[in-house]
Amino acid sequence: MGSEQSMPPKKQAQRAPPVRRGYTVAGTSYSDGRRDTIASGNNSPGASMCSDSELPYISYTVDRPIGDSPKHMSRAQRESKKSMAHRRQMSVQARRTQRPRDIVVVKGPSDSQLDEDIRRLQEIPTFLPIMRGTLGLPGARDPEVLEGLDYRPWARLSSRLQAHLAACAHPLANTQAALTAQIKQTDSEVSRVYAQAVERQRSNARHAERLARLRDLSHQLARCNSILTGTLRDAEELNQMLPESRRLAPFVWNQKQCV
Amino acid sequence: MTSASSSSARSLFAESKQRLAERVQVNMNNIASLARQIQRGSKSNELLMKAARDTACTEPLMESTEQNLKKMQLISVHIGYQLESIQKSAELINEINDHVAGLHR
Repeated sequence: MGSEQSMPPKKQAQRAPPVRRGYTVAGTSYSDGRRDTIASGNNSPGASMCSDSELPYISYTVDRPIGDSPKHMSRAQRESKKSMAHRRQMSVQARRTQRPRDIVVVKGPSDSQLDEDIRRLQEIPTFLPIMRGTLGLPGARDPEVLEGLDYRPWARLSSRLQAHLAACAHPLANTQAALTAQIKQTDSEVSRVYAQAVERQRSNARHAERLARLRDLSHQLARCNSILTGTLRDAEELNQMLPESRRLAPFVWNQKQCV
Repeated sequence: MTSASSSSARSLFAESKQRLAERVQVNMNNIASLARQIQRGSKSNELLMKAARDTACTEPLMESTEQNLKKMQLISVHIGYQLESIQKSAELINEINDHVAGLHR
């Protein structure tokens, strides 16, 4: 963010996280200037958004409070003093309350040159946590993201997307409507043709039935014919059997002569 | 705000985390409402739903068409049979003519 880059450099001293160097370096040099920055007794090492399992130095604040711990008043002080006396030196962050029993005086800085690691740490640019409201400064509230966000490209993008969706949906709906209309039309056509086919089949059945009668007719005619020829032959034969005087004239079909 | 509570180290950043989560939730809700606006603004959903519903309404029509077509196939077979019988009967007419001519001798 641009706001804190332009802050005056003297404020940076307050923002940089204080470093505990209990286990790393023998002598510290810079801590004298920082002793007055932190006044309160109990301080956690900066508002860092780390997970619970990685919360550093909690044991320090619980077991080895620098100032007065509300829980461990005398017991923690006693054992913390003992452990501190026996272990390596630590960089002092707060002015220790004067106790007549244990006073640990740290040796002064040997050289004015800052330690390599400390110098590198000081070169870290200042950054703010995600939510600036957690810093506790009365002035720096969480700035609303809409302040720095230009809405116009977003509005354009979303309106174009909306128009694109609409442009895709309309022809599709029209095509589908055309398909539906065609389906209906096809169905009506098919039903009409089906009705015609049924009608034709019925008339065909009538004609076929009538023509089937022809078959019977022809059979009967054939039988008639055969019977007639047989009868005529028999009559001729009988005629031959008769004597000459009683013979009939030969049978002719057209003339209606009764025998 | 940054004081370490010696009572429980686990609740150290609970409030900060909750605030962060709220912010994230607000952002997510905004994005979701933007997406819903895009979808509802273009009435693509309604149009496509209407098209789908109309197509579903034509389903009985399609079924009736299929049945009609099947029946017409059967009818065509029947008509074939009838055509055969009519042809045979037509041939019989010639024979009948011969017989009648024979009777008219």
